[in-house]
This record gives sequence, C-alpha cells and structure tokens, in this order.
Amino acid sequence: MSGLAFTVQVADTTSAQLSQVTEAFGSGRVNAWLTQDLIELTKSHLVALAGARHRSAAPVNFYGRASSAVSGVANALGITISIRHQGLAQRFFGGTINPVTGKYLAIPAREEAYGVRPRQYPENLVPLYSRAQRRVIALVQAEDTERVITKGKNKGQLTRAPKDKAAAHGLGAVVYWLVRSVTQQPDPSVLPTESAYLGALTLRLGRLMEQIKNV
Amino acid sequence: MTFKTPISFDDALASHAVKTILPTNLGSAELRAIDGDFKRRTGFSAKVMNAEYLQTIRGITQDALSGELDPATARLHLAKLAELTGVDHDSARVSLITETNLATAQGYGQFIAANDPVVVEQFPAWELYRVEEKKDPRDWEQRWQFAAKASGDVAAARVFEETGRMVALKDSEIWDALGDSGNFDDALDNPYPPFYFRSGVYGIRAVDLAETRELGLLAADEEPKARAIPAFNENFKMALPELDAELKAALLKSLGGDVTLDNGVLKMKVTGGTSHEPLPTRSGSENRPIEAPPADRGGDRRLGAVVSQALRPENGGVTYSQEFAGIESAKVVNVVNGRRALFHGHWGAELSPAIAQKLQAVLPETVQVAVRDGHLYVFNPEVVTAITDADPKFYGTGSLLDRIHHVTAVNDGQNGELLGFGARNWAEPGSVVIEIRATNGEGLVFTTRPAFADIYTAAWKHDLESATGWKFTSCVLKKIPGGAQ
Repeated sequence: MSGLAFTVQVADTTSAQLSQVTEAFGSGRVNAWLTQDLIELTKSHLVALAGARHRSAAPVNFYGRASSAVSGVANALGITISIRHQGLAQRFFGGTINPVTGKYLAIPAREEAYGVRPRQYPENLVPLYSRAQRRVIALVQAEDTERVITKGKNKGQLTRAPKDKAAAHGLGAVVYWLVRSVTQQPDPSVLPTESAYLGALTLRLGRLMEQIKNV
Repeated sequence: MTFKTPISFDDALASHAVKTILPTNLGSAELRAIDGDFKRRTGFSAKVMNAEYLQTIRGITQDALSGELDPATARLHLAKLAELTGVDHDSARVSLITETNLATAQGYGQFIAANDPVVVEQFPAWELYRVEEKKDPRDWEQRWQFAAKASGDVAAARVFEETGRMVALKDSEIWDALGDSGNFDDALDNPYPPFYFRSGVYGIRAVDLAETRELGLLAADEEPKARAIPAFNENFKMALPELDAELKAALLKSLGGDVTLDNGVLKMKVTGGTSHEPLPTRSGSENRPIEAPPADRGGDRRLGAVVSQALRPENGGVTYSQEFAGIESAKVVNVVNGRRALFHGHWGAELSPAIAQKLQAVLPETVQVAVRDGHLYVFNPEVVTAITDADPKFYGTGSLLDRIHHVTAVNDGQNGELLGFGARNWAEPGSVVIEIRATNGEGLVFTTRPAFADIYTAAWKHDLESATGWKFTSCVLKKIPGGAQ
C-alpha cells in the first residue's frame, strides 16, 4: 500500500452557517477553501508526528516526507484528502508484512541502520546462527563495535570486538535482527481525529461568516 | 459532515477522486500534459547521464590504449564503473535525480493548486518552515533575507525581522529569488519547493487571509492576487558534461529539438504553463450575474471544447448551435470530473450510437458511454454506484446501466438525482423549478427541493461557468404545488 486517502462529505444541508457561506460565495469556492484547511491540518499533524517520532539518526524522515505528499480535491462525493506516501497505509491499518524477495525481513537494531538496507550498510556484516531456532537470526558487525556482556564474571561491562573475530565467537553488535514476518497494530493516530477536522472546518466557516458580516 | 473511512491510496487511485501523484485539482488533460513534461525531463536527465558514463568508459579505454593505465587497472576501473552504473554507486546519483525530479513534479502540482485564483482569495500567502533537520542544514534564514532583498519584497523582510517567520504573498518574487540558481549555486530554479538539491524536507504552509492581513502583507482594501504559472520545464537545465566532440554530437542528436545549448548549459524547450484569468467577484445575489468567468479549473473548458466539437451537427452530432453544444458538453465534462453522475440524451436508435461513438473517442476511460433503446448515457461509474447503492429499492440492483435506464426510461423522469439535481422526480410535489441561463440565451432547467435550491443553483452555475467560460444568471421559474411546506 502506498498511501492513504479519505473523503469528507461537507454537504450538510442542515447547517445554517454552511448554507449562508455557500449562498454568499458559491459552493465551488467554499469547497476549495475547506479543502485547503483539511490539507493544512493533515500536513501540520504529520509534521508534529515527525517531531515526536522521528529518530535523529534515521536518514529518512518518514512523517516529514509524508507531510509533503498531502493533497486534496473537492468533487461530487465531498473533499478527498490523499497522502501518497509509501508505508503510511500500513501504519494506519496495521497488518502483517512478509518478505517479498528474500527469506527474512531485516529489522534495524542500531540507529545507524535505520533507512539503510543490509547490503548498503558500510561495514561488513556476518550472519549470527541460532542453534535453538536452527536459522540465522541476525546480522552482526563483527569488527570494531561495542556490545554489553550479558553473562559471566564481566556481565554488564562493555566490550569491543577486535578485528577478524567472527560474530559466531559471541563478539560484535547486532545491526539487524532477521525475522520471517512482522505484524503491526493499526495506528489511527497517523491522521488527525475527526473532531480536529470538524474544528478546522468550523473555524473556516466562522471566518467566512465574519467576512460576510463585514461586507 | 461525515467522514468516510480512509482507504489505501492505490484504491483511491483507481477512483476518479485521486488522479495521479500530482497533488492538484487539475483535470486529466492538464495532468497528462504535465505527465508528458515529466517524462521529457526524466528522459533528458537520463540521456545526459548516459553520455557522462560513455565518456568515462571512453576515457578509461583510451588511457589503457595509450599506456597510461595498465590493462589490469583499466579492467578494474571498468569493472568498478560497471558496478557503479549497474546498481550501487550510481543508484545514489540516479536516486538523487529521480527523487529531485519527482519532488519537483509534486511541488509543481502543489504550486498550481495553491495559486488557483479561488484558493488565493482566502489563502493569499505562503509560509516556509522546516520539517526535517539535516546534519548540515542550510542557513534558510539567511537565504530568505537575501531573497527578500533581491526581490525587493520589503514586507516579507519586515515580517521576518519582527516575527522570525518566513511568510510572503504567493505572488511575491521572493519565491523566484529563493530558487534562483543565480542567487544560490545549489538552487533548482523553481519558485516552489524543492528549491535546492538535497534541501531536506522544507514545508510550505498556506496562510489565510485574516493572518496575512494581520501580518501587514496585505492592506485591508487590497485584494489577493494569483500569480502566473510557469511551464513545468521552463527553468529546467543541466550543465553539458565534458564530452568528446563525437559524444557531444550524439547526445545533442539524441535530444533532438527538445533542447537548446547556451554557454555550455542545456535547456529544455517548454510547453504549457498558464496565466490566470481575471478573478470572479462574489455573486452576492443569486440573480446577479457573475461579473467575470472563473478560470479554467481542471481543464474543464478545454475538454468542453473537444466534446462540443463532437456534438456539432457538421460532425454528425445533434446540437443546433455552438451555444447549445457548449451547455451539453459542459454537462458531459461535469460527469468526467466527478461532479455529476450522469449525462443523458434521448436521440433515438440511429443517432445515439453515432454520438456515443464520437464521445467514446474523446472521453477518458474513467467514464462509460452506453446506449439503450435510443437513450444515450455518459456516466461516472463510481458516482453512480455511490448514489444508487444508497437506495437499491428505488434504483434496483442490476448493472449500473440497468439502474440508470430504470429511472430514466422505464420509470420516466426519475433520474434527477443522477443528473445532479436536488430532486429525483421532475414533478416532485413541493419542489421548485430553477432556470440557469447564460447571456447568450443558452442554459438549463432543473427541479430541486427548496432546501437545496441555493446550493444546487450555485453548484450548477459554478460548474457551467467553469466548463464554458460564460456568465450565468438564475431564477426560480415556478413552484410545484403540494409536498411538505
């Protein structure tokens, strides 16, 4: 899924305010302005998410880029807002992701791995095999990385993997975990709430009412 | 107000509501034009890059032949180059160019939509703000101040000084100065984001009329203005790489007549671009004519002219005058752009199929043209589905054509809702009959419920004006007795 789209129907004929501004300005104009408000609200929401959720080391600002992909159009069905950004629909709806080309999905375990595919990772990576799971479970940077010792008398201390030592020796840091699939929960908070949209529309109608009064 | 559950963009893309990656209100004709320009630009970029690669290969080979490189090293270089051009290294450069071209196309779409004269009326200014922090961020504030000075936008400079905000009117030349490669080496010559290569995510926010006036960018008696839109490729250029004479000639030949070469810079020849027509004034009274037609939003008028030609008698059509053709084609255009569900003509078993054939040739595949029992229908499947699914008892549950024909011909005159009127039945008790007429005498009459009369009249006037460019007035012809008062 490469993005999200939704439609807001504003043809509420019971709203006296809407009827008044439509009469004064024309429905085409009013719809065009309301569309702009919905676009701006969606953009600012995504920008706020970018500030709250973006990992500083990740090279790609997911929500920041999504905010640049917001567009809207008014038509007979209402106002359609669309955000064409790969992965946004996955976050909104949730669901299971399976690998398409290989056997595993690579989940970044270190900040510098975000937004970088394993084959593009600048250091040499070696597979870490799990005897219990009978498969490769991670890609490890064997050389020149630090890790925390998890057992033994030096437990809790940092150790640095020397050069030419394979990950199989228990040295080096995990850069990617390899998994067969990932299931994400739906996250409706990637979009503003309905009441936020309603608030934006109400605000605009109020401002247009003021303009009518001031003419 | 109701919200429909969000759907994936792919599903939305399949509908008429969202047409392309370009986030605009443009109609399909204009989108196609930009799509063509986008392809021209990417093709242009690719050819220039290919020439650079060829030049590199040639250089390595010649060095090997001349003995400056030993064969093993030359092979290594060529293998490296193959690797680079194949996937890895140059995927970075290809990605940069592709991403930049794509972002520019998106930015252009937003630029057009933002400068729609109707939108500018209430959102006359833009504000630039940072979305993404980069490791080495540009000094945007400094650039803004420089651009304000270069463009002579004293008001924008003052607002920045007083508030620290980078706000300017949409028609200010500050936007051109900000993206001018004459001012900044890395600029892309766009008056809209992305202004620079690798500029990170920098957002543009629309600033509304009240805030613009509060900031002092627009005086109380000053009307907002939309700016002319440059063609997509108007300022696009690439430096001609250092090439041997043969390669240079081959490159220029492959680019054909699409470019000009000026002082080592390749520039694309441009097509398209728009200039906005005069802004319409507020209608005020429903019976007062609109003083100037709205701009050709979404390319309606262009499509209208094409349909209108197809409907003219000299082309085998049914209309008796250019004006009548204009109104009929406007109705068809409204179906194409999704504002109406159905266009209907009852022109008989001989003429309807002939007209259908002509319309099919000029209309996009998003609408369907069908003939049944001498009735010709042009319909928007998605809108028809949305309307008829809501009341299957009234419309039936057959195919879309069955449903349309059922309320149009079988139960004569029950298709008002599909035609975009406010009443289903032409003689619905308690409804009003509205006439919308242009100064040239052509127009339409429709029946609607009194509560919807204003909205439907305004919508029809807007859409007819949009598609024809004419001025329209409206009046209530009569009230049909009966019904709930």
